[in-house]
Amino acid sequence: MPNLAERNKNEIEFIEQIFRASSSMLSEIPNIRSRQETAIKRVTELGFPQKSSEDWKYYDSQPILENFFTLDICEINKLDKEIIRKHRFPECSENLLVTVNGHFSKELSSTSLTNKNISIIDFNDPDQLKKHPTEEEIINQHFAHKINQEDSFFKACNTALMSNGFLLSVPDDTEIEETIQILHFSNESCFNQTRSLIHLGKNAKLKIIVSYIGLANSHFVNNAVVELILSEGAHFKLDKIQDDTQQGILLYDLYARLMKNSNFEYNSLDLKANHSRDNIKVDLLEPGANAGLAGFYILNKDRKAHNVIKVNHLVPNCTSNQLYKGIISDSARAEFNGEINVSEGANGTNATQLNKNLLLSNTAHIDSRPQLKILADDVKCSHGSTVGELDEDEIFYLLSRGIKKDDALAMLTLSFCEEIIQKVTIDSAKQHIRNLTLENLDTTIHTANTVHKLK
Amino acid sequence: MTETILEVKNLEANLEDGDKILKGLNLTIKAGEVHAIMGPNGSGKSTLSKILSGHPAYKVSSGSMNFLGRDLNELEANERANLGLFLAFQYPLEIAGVNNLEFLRMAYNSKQKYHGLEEADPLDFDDLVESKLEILSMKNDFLNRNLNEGFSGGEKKKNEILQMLILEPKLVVLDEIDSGLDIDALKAVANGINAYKNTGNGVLMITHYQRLLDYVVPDQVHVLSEGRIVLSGKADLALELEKKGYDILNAKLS
Ligand SMILES: Nc1ncnc2c1ncn2[C@@H]1O[C@H](COP(=O)(O)OP(=O)(O)O)[C@@H](O)[C@H]1O
Ligand SMILES: [Mg+2]
Repeated sequence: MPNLAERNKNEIEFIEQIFRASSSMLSEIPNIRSRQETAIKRVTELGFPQKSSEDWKYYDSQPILENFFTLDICEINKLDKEIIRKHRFPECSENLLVTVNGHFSKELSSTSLTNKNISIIDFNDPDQLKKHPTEEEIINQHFAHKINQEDSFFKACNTALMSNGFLLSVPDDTEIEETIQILHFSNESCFNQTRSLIHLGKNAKLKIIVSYIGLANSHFVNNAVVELILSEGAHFKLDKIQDDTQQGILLYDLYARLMKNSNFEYNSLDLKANHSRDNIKVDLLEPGANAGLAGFYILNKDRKAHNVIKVNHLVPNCTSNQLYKGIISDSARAEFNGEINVSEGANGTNATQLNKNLLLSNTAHIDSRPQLKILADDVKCSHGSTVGELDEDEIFYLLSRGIKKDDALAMLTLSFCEEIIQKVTIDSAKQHIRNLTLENLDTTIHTANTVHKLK
Repeated sequence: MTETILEVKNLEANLEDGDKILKGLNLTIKAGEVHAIMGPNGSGKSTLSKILSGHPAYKVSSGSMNFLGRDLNELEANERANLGLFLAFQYPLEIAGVNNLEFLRMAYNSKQKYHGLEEADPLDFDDLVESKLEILSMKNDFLNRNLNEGFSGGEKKKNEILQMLILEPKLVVLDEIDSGLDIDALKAVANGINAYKNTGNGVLMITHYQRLLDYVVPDQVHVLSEGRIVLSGKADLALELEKKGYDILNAKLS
């Protein structure tokens, strides 16, 4: 184990525990197993993320360490069916996938999915895989892609420790009309490894709405990894709702690879976790690919949300845009660290990036770092960020129509994020997101009121 | 005796950080009266309208404002609105993500609640709104748009009048409601004001032009200059001002 001597005792202990736990987590599927073995090596090589690294400069990973030693590597996937009923969106009633503490649950997921020409393969079921050679090939090609060069420590941890995630794949020329809902529950005080691989064949179309839901009353860390491959002409829309408890830490790693003329639309809604860190990487690998990333985070108390985003324009004539909006109050902190990287020769790139923030208290904090790194000549790129408060004249306009101050503040705050909420596919999900936003605002509005009185 | 709706006495007001804008203003509006305020740019007309309706950027340093027997200074902006004071903004704000009809309903219900009355039945409310749209020749699809978002100047002004018609205030302050309107929009807006006006309420119109006053004839015309009303007269004062400009102030005042 290299240079561990330089690391503090907890970090070494963390890695040693991962090392020990991983030996019992190895898959029976040879191709998965061999990558897990590589992943363990990467975990020790990379070492626990340090503040000296650009990507981790603003993220305090110590709470993960502090919590980790009280957590198990969870092998429990029990959940009351009632709870699922509470969280499923009626529009997706027959299209549900459920994981509990990182473990895919066939019993809790709806069975009708496979009738719809979608394959769901449990990583923990070698027999199933043997019957599906196409899917086996997809896993061989894409699961833990280039793990020997993996630069994300937590993704490597996930690969080493995950025992049953799933592959969801849609064959060529297949359009799935209904939106698929995925519910990832965390209901134990665990260090969970949630894992999925999503593959769309040529010209396939799919919409997914994913919720990460924390139910545990004590601390937990959900380490989630999604790998995504869009083949030529595929269209994929992913809405991610982070609905964890105030005790939850969510690490979310999304790596998307986009082929020719494929289209990826992603909407991220960070609503509840105590800490969250999203690590989003999109590789535009063939001409004509388009990625639209949108995000909304709302934070109160001492919560934190970090969005680290890299969109890589590796070939000519791709487009991308990023729009992230945040509302931060009390002594909460957020980080937006977005990069547009345009490689040499990637001419005809069209990329935009914008981060807008509302700060509702004097102690709320945002580190907004939109970045462009351009090595090609013929490109159209723009980026920017804004930080502001609610507009006094807008508040006054609503008051002058008889609306109470608290209601006016809530309306304007919702109005700020509505642009993102509107992008979400399902109406009942939109309403759910608004409700969670308003829950956050209870304390926020109180704070805002004092700020305005102080002025 | 007719009811006094608004009585402003020796009002002095300044910006939160110092500059004095109103310097001893007097104005009384009785039920059934239409008043017009004219005056050069920057003389304090919009400021007066915002101070009356309770904008937090301004501070009253002396004088008094009485509305239906209540001291406005002691009321929050939303209370003033619920008691029946309505300001049509010179520059109505665009509020993204707030549905126009929803907003109208919220405003209406705020007033109902304030007076301990029941909230409107949604269907009845839709009927009410539709009847008002007709007066303004506005199309129904306005209601499904976001509050003033992407509205043209004229559409915003009509939307202000729509709100006024639905809220049925006791006093309306119309800040340059006629600016930027084409002939048809001007007629629609004038229609709205005339539909609103009755013997029990009051109208205060801030304007630069006679053309609105052709449709809505004022009982009194005032000239505001440097934070004071320096001249008052009947409807013909506006005609004279339009012909000769504010130069007549110098002649009349000296
Ligand atoms: N919020 C404000 N901040 C700075 N100056 C202001 C503000 N409101 C009004 N003023 C100043 O007060 C004066 C009167 O403005 P206003 O009432 O808008 O004039 P009018 O409507 O008559 O054209 C102007 O000099 C204007 O610049
Ligand atoms: Mg003005």
